[in-house]
Order: sequence, then structure tokens, then C-alpha cells
Amino acid sequence: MTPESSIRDLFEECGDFQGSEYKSDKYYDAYLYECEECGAQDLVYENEEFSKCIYCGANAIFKRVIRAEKLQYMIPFKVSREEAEQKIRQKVRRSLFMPQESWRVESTGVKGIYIPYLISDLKIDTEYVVLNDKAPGTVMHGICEFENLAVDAVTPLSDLFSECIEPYDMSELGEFDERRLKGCYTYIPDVTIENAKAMLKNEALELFEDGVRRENRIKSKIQVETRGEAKFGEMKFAVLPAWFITYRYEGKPYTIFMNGQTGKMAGNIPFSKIRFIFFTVLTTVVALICSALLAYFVGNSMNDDGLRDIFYMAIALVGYVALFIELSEFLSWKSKFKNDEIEDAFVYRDNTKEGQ
Amino acid sequence: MLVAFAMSVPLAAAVSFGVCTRLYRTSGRFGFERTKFTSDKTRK
Repeated sequence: MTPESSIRDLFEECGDFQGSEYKSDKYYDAYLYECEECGAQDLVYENEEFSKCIYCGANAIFKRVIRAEKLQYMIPFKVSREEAEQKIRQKVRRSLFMPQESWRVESTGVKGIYIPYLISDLKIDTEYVVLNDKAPGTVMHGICEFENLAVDAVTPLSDLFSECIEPYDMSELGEFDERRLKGCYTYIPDVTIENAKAMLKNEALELFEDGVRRENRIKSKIQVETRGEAKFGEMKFAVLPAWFITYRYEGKPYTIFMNGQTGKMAGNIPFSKIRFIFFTVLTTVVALICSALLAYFVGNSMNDDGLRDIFYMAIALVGYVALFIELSEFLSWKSKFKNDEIEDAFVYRDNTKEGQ
Repeated sequence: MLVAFAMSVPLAAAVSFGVCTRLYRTSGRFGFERTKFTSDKTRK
């Protein structure tokens, strides 16, 4: 069965096929693929002979054509496919601990995706309390106001991923044109307006807290309380562009995403423990030789034995302090970005199965 | 020489640890630090 005939059959079977007579300003046809491995459903604007799953890079099989409702706005790609591929290649090549044999990107490897977002202006009246700072317990009043605040409107895609390639410049929002979706993947928004409003409110309060702390140089946490209901402006649906590449190495999927407007990237790539251990040993040996030689020659140039001892002790002290600082910084980073959270960013989440 | 070597071990360890952990942070994953407040359209 050819893809074209299967599309027709499936449409007829579903009873919603109107073929070439099907004309509507509200809808466009999209091709639904299902991943053979993780079961994720991928939506592509054009029929593809071979399609890869967004989430795991395995083969995806054509299921049927669906009618997708046109959204109101979109931002077209500003970063070309060639630029995206070049930037991703550069990023990967610079990765010291990546097994180079794992990187096999063909010229068609990078694919475009339009992610649905809900965008709205938002105003919240707030009271916030500074905790554990110079003036703890101080209650302050502030208006939290945003224009064109956006949250992604698809649940299978991790918020962590979408947040990391944001922000988009909303001044470039234009009218939705499905012709621009050609050859690109997309999603059908599945977030209700009520859920989107709650997400927008949380996002706004988080950004507000971050902004208040930054502007007032508050290091501790602040507790933000809302006064009254949040006021939303017009809710706008839009699709925003991203490039992505998904590939598999030793059975594990790796994905790199890039903001299609700004070129900001986020992704995970294979990590070679052997390379890391080799590099660590090499760096330690070189650092040890250099610091020992430096300490020896500088120490020897000192005629006073007492002064030389103080110098050696100072070197040791500086070393311990630096080691402590580096260690605490690393542990703080480690607790902030837990490995599990990051890897989960690209795992397909079938939220419809939750609670069953 | 032995004293110089012994006293410079912590410094060498700090340098090595600093370099390797910084490289480790950017390997395996990248871009997961969230950017906030870069758009003129977003104001507090």
C-alpha cells in the first residue's frame, strides 16, 4: 500500500475525507505518524516516505491524515536549515567528551518543527515578603505586568525543553500561514484555556520573583502572594519555530533543539566516560607538574627559610580554598540540574494514560 | 623539591577539578540554563 492510497483509505474509513473538494479556511491537512518504539504521535505537514520520531529518533509509521485547525499567529524561521545544521555541528565538534563515532548527521538530519504556544498579556497585583535577608519580613507591594507572555500549549513536550530555547521575540508575530509549515513537524495544541491561564500565571509570578530579586539585589527567597484575580488580555494561539535533530547511539535517544528565530540551542549528547577519565588524569598530571615547578623555583629564589615556609603554606592554603570553592560550585550545579530531569525532557509523555 | 610538590598538590587538584567540572557541565547536555528578561516586550 502506498502512502497516498493509505491516506485516502484511512480518510474514507474515518468518514472525514473530502479529498480535493475539502476546502476550508479554518483547517489544514496534516499527516499523523506513530513511532514504532515509544508510541509518540508526530504530526507532519507534508507526507514523508520516511519519518523519524521527534522524541526517540526511531522510525515512525504513517497512520492517517487529520484535520488540524489553523492557529492565529506564527513566527517564521529566521535561522535557515543550513545555518542550524552548521551551528549544531560546531557545537557537537567542540564537545570534548562526546564519542565522535556517535555523530552521524546526514544533510537531511535537521528538521523543522512549529510548536504551538498560547500568548497573552497579563497583570497581577501582588504583595511579596522578603525572607531571611537584611530586612526579613518586609511586606512590599508590586504590580506584575507582562506583554505577550507565552507558554507552550502541548503536553507531550516537556516544559523544560521549551523553556530552555525561549525566549522568542514576539514583535515578529505574523499571521498564520500553513504554507510555511511545509516539510515541518508540528503539534496540535492540547492545553485548555483554563490550564494555560494557570501556567501563564505561574510563569509570570516566577519571572516577577526573579526580577524583584535581581533588581533589589535580594539573595534570599521572597514569598509572592497575589491580591485579587490575575487579569488576562486576549488569548492568542501561535506556532513558534524550532529546529531539532534526534539520533540514537547505543540504543539511547539524543535530541538537540534550536530556537528557529534566535538560534538558541539546548540538547543532550552522548558522553564518553573513557575520554573524560583520560582528560582528567592528563589535566591533573600537567597541573601538578606546573604548580610544583612554580612553587619550587619561586620558593628557591627566597633566601629566608622562614619566608619560604610561609610561601609554601600560602600555596597550600590557596589550593584548599580554591578546591572548596570549586567543589561547592559543582555541587550546587549538580543539585540544580539533576540528570534525570534533563533526560526526561525528551521522553514522550502520554498524559492521556495518566490516571487510568 | 618534595616540600614544594606536597604543598602544591591542593592547588593542582583545584585547577584540575575546576577545569574538568567546567567541561563536564557543558558535555552530555547544554543550553539548559534558562534565559529570562531578554525581550523588550516583557517587563516587570
